[in-house]
Amino acid sequence: MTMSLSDQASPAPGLLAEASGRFVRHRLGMLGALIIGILILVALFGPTLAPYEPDKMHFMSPFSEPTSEFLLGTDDFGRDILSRIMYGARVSLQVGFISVGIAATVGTGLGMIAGYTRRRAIDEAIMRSMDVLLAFPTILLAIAVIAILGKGVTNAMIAIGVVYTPIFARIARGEVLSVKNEEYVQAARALGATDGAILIRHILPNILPPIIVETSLSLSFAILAEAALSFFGLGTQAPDPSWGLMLSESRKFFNNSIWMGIFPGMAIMLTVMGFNFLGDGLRDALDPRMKNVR
Amino acid sequence: MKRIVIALLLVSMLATSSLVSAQEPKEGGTLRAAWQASWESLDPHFASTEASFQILNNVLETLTFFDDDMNLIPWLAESWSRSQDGLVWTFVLREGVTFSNGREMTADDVAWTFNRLVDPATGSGNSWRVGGSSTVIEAVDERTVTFTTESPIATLPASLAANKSVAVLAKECLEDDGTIQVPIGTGPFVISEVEGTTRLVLTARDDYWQAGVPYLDEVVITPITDDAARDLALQGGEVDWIFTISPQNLETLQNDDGVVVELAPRLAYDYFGLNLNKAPFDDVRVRQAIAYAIDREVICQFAFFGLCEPTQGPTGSGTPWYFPYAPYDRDLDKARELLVEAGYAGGFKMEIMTAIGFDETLRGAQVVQQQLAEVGIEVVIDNIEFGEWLDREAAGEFDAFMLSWLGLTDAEDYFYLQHRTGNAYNFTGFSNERFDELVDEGRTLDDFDARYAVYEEANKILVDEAPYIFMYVKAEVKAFAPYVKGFATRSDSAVNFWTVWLDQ
Repeated sequence: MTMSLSDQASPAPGLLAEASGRFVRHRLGMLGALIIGILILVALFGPTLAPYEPDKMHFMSPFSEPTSEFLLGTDDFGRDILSRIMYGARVSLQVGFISVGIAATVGTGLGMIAGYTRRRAIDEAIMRSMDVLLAFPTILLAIAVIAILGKGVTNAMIAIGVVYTPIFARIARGEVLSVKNEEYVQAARALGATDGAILIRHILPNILPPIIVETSLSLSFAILAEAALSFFGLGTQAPDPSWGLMLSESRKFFNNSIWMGIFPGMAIMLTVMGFNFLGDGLRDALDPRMKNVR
Repeated sequence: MKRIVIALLLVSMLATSSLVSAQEPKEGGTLRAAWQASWESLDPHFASTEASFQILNNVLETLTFFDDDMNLIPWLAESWSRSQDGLVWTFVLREGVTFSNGREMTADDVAWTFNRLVDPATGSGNSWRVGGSSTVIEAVDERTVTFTTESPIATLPASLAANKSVAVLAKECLEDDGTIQVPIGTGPFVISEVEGTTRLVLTARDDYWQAGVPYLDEVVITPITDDAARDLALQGGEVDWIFTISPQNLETLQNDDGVVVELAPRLAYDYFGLNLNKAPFDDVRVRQAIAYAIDREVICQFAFFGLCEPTQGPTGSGTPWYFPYAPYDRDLDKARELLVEAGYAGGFKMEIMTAIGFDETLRGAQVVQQQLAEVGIEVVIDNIEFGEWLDREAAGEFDAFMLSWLGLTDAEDYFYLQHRTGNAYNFTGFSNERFDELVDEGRTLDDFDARYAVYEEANKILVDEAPYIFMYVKAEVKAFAPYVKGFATRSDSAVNFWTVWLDQ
């Protein structure tokens, strides 16, 4: 954020090192990285860290307020909310990474083909179908996909992946268009490289930064989308813990047991905030416009 | 503990309701009532949901009627008698009863209504209540109707009071295409406005045959499907009366001075049915092991927040057909032993279908899941749309289905439909020769004590064979504003507005 032109003008010690230097100096970005780092640790070690099994019902203490026994209280079945949030982190991250992984891979692939091809018909076919997908509000499209595939966490991942595919396709196509006539691409072509090799070895590395940024930002949306789908009963199914589902279940008890909704809500908020900060930091560190300041 | 609380509530409810009756009812006013679901068909021969039936309850009337204490009393029929061979029931109609279009009700109307009900061409799912298409209904004279059945149905008069699927209609309400959109009956209210499934208005008749009622001018019905939103609508004064509460809000509502909560033991039960056509549920020992492995007190408490009575058979203490047979107090050792005997020492995996919109099934299934895990049975819960649930139940594509049976007044309602061999609602595939003999016999008997003995044996067979695992009987809960007077919360869940008046 607080970068001076002299940073850019100094001889590059390598693009990656330069970018990571900028990222480390980006406070919010680092905060985001810290939050996400902690989250990943919780997801990985949740089963050993969690005080109870997430589904274990403590029939003697339903609706317990936060106490030393149950740090974040218990829900309507006497299940420990802290443990459920820790297990829920796995669900959220898993859904986030897999669905955005699908969107990034498929979207970038399609976008690169559309941007690189010399046949207008292929470009049009790909991008217009992406436009159709983009025309729908995201959650509505995800619900429509689930209506076709059936509910459940796996299908929720596919649905969210489908929803975010066009965004990646657009970015990738735009980037390819801007670099495909660069000298290094022409050089590669002159040396007899195939289209596939040019796309993967020469173009992809050069269009990666905006895609990385978009990936990070999409992760937060994907986690929100999973929470929303589970809230509607279409994603994760009871009794599995998912933050969205916990939030949905807590609604009925909100008058008397506010902690049932507050803590999963905070988990969602922190995670989304973390990914957004991380995405901001990455964008500022990798921003191509900055690179172009010569 | 919870049961004591309920008992106290019931007592206090009785006390307050007798106080209320001392007051002089006031005429007029509009009651704003919130339903728990949208109505579907208003044709009584096709209605199948509570939401529809409870609207029809105030518009249509039956030959016989259950009063608020579940005694069978004359209604559109003044009296009835049965032939020696038990095959012919004769009903004598009340004089001076008019339909809401002003025309007097005659025996022809009764015959027309029931012939439409039993006609296979109509395709009503409710025709079994009078014995199905083989039953002959005839008008003997202006005021006399006979029902001639293929085999004796001793319970016909009670069956004719069961719900409004057996109410009397004026044939003028039949549309050209043979459907009924808005029925015309003899009841205290008429359906005066229907806005899709979002608003329905009942307007009081001034020529109703019972003198003095209804007190209200109008009832405006709107569905509010979300439990919490419905409770808030009552608390906020947006509506005066609600169909049911969210059980977890009981305490909050009771502590609210602006709300009166009433309870009654329901004539219904919650259960899960097993697929007897499929291993391992074809083995009675496995079914019994499941029955031993669950803790009904805990299920009642967590599935329905304790607003229920745990039971091991279908009947609860609120019906004269209560049978105290209860062999399945929780016994995990016994359950494991039975599983070992059946060859499932290592347990097995099973799926329980629950229905979206019936929250207590998903809640109950989660508790059952936890409890069965203790004997090595791994439960997977499949929470699906009710339509799909019904389809899969009918197609036999399930291990277990969880739901409830409602509106059970006669002993037969608890046993015959669901469990007799080959019956349309026998989805478990249960078949037991002695049980069939008993429930067939029960239909032909008049005398309560004789019938009680028959159904007691049938109940024992059913509980021992365990095609259904019975869990609990819910309490019927209604809530309304304190100025709503004269409403009776009934075991059969019937919503009767003609005795209601507004003290304001």
